[in-house]
Amino acid sequence: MSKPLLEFSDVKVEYQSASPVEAVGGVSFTLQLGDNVGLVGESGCGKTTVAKSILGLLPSNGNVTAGRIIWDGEDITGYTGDELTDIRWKDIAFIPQSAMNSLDPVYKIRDQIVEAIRAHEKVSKDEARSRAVDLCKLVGIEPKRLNDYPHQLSGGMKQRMVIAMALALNPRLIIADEPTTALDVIVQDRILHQIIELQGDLQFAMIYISHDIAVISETCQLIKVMYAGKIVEHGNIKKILKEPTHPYTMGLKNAFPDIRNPHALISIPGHPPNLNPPPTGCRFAPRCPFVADICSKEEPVLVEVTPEQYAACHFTDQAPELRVNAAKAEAWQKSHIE
Amino acid sequence: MRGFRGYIIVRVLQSIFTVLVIATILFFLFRAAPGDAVDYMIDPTFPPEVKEQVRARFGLDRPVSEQYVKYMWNLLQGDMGISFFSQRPVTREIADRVWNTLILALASFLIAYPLGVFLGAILATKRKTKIDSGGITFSLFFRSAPLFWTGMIFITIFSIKLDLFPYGRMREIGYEADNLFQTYFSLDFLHHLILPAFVAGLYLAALPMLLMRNSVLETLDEDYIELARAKGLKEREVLFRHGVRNAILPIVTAAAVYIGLALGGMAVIEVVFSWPGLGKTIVDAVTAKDYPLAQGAFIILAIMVSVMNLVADLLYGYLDPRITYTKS
Amino acid sequence: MDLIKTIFRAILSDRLAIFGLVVIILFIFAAIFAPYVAPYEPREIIKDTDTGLVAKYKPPSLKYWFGTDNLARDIFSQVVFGSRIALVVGFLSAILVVFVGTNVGLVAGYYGGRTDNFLMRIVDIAYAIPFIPFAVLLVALLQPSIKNLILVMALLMWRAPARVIRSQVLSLSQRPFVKSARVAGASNMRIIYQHIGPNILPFVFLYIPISVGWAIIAEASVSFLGFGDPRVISWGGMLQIAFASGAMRIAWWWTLAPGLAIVLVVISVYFIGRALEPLANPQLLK
Repeated sequence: MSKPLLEFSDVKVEYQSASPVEAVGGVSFTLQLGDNVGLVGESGCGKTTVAKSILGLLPSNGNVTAGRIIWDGEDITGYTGDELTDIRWKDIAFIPQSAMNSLDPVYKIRDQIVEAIRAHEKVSKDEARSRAVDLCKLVGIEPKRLNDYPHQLSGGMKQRMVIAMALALNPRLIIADEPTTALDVIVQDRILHQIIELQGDLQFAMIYISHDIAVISETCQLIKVMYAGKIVEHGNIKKILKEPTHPYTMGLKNAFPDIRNPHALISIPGHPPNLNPPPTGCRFAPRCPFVADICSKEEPVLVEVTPEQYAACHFTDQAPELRVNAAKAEAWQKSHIE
Repeated sequence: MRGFRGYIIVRVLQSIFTVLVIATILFFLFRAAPGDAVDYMIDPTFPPEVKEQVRARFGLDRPVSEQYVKYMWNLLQGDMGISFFSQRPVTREIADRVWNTLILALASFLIAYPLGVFLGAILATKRKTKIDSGGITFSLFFRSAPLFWTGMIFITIFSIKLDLFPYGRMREIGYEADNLFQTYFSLDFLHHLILPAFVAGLYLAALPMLLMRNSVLETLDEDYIELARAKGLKEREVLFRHGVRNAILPIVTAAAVYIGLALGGMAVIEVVFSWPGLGKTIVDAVTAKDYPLAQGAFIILAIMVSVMNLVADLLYGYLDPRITYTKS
Repeated sequence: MDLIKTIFRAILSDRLAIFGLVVIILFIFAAIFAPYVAPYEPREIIKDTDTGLVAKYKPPSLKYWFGTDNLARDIFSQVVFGSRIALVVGFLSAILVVFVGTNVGLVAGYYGGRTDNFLMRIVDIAYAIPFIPFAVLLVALLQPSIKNLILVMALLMWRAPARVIRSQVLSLSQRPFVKSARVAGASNMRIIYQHIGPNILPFVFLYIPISVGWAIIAEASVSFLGFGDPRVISWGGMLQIAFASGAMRIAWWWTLAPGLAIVLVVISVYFIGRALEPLANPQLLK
């Protein structure tokens, strides 16, 4: 096993508001070059927080309160913005949610890409401009659009421009936070395939954040399922989606249509727990159809279920039976679930 | 830049139209006021025969439409009538005063705007601290104090009690200048300019400061600021190249409106400091019932306001590409 | 109404706004009960009981809290009586200004197109007219009186709320709830006043304190220039006489008192206005 590119070690992130909220409650994982990880979970589960904490982009009231973030062997936990300027964009690029609002409305697209390049490399303006043209072609947009201002482009084009900009410095890791959520399905599909193609060509590692399992299953090889600030299941995507171990993952699978296996959509009733302070025991317990006494007392840790499959549940050994029950709508209507 | 050229033409035409409308309003205002129209054109103590002559000469016995045309025609040729008081053409009377008002206004703005914008940006970074609320209260105080009163207080303190500055006029009586440069750039002139410009500046600085503060606060929350940071730009670059550059847009729009408000308010400063400008001319002329002079000064002032509005509108169009470059 | 409750809550949560509210209430009290609050008649020429001489140009003392002026009149009493004009002109003008401005903004923003263009041309013209000079001209031609002063303010000051309300209404008119109201057959009038109206009320309430402040300063300025209503006592009028009498040199208290009164009232309404700002712009709450 070569040295991991990115190492998250029991990281906790807290937001200070009226009372502190522990948005990320101890997350650990490693990432190798070339990995393509899908980070899935519902809104508020902490996936964006994880992404932003890597690059020090947390809002002013957010702080990493525990754990270590190690990039390429360097401990970057708690680095300030100015300390991270070398890593930002050059090593790790970030495509934010609704990237269409992320382009400055008063500068031309070309100037913004050139700015990104020249912030890290000593190249002439002309050279940066011709690189911008190449990048533009890479994402399939005609280069003359570089001369436009953001408001003159459609949403899909803006998104692709941001992707092009993210590739400008050949980063080793790209974090894409719901890059296609705000777009219509056709454009979504186009961009998804573009990303897959680009990754095949350029071999960067990717963390793809989404709440849409279908999209993740198309683009990624690895999956991490997050719930209430913790990773509850992770591993090989094909195996996990075929045979999920954690009840939450089973529930997620139910909520998405599968054309090969049509089923009535079942949603998970209830809502995620209040994280200030975080609950004891398994965080999914209040909504879990298979909850038992031990669940609210002891928090389950991630264990290897099969090679390439890890889940945090007390009943991983009963997974096969639970899977059968999870597929039934009645299982999710237990009286203790609100 | 075709979009921009078209924008300029449209705005210029609109400004011209605005001034013409204002001239028209003045025309009907003086006609609608109670009393004999002739009394607004010549000294009412003149004998009736002269009044008849004037009536005929200015066509006051002609239908209103004809009078209006003549009035506008005269105006466009730069003829604004004769001042009652001095019996000289109005245009000659106000020629100098235009510069006086302009210089005072410019000096006040040069103090107020950069100061206000700079302080506003700083306050935004010091949000929720004592400096922030202190700065806001300070500027609100100056906005709540009538400009003329602040002038009077400053005169009392700095001119009368401390004897640091002269308390009125533009220069010492009996001053003789050899050329234009000496007229306006002498030390004496500057000495007289400082107090009124500073007082006006303090008052005017409040609005850009508050606006800039709000604008920077809002801008720093925008998504493109986050991406700028993610691109690895230094915080200083993020703040100025993306933050201030965007935050300044509403300040410029506000400047348009603001200059108009300020030019009108200058009148009061001119009176307090005996500064011979257009505003003071209007007040003195109206008090003395010298209506041609009042009317002429007013039109010139309105033109200045319109020009300033236009300039700021054009600046705004230049700074915000969303206005001039429409979606393709 | 809910909105009234929200307004009060906004004011009461801001210390400065509470201060402002208290000050305004005090001034209203002084205005209403002026004859009882003021120790002397405002125009009374006071003979100093100790010396038997007329009490001209007396600095502030226990006898004359704000001192006396050139005609031996008590300045404190004048300030008290002057609050009547300030408050009446301030509030009446504000209501008129906000009423006109809001309606213009509603109509322009809702109907759009030609109506909007036309109305905005008028707003542009209003903005090109320098306020104080115009007020001076108008009042001089129509004769100085309180009525005419309020009229002048209403004639020009509506321009600011009109613009702001119009841009709000413009974006609101695109929202689905307006379209569905139209489809349901609601008349334009109904949509404007019953559907869009409530949504812009926060802005309307924001402009009332601002307009009161403007109106009071404008009235003071016009009176200071000598075009105020000579029959009433106003703070601006007091300052005019003070200026003309050379108070700056010999009676600083005469300049200070009426001006401070103006500052107090105006800053108080501004404080109240600031507390209402977040209602119109939720982003500022952050």
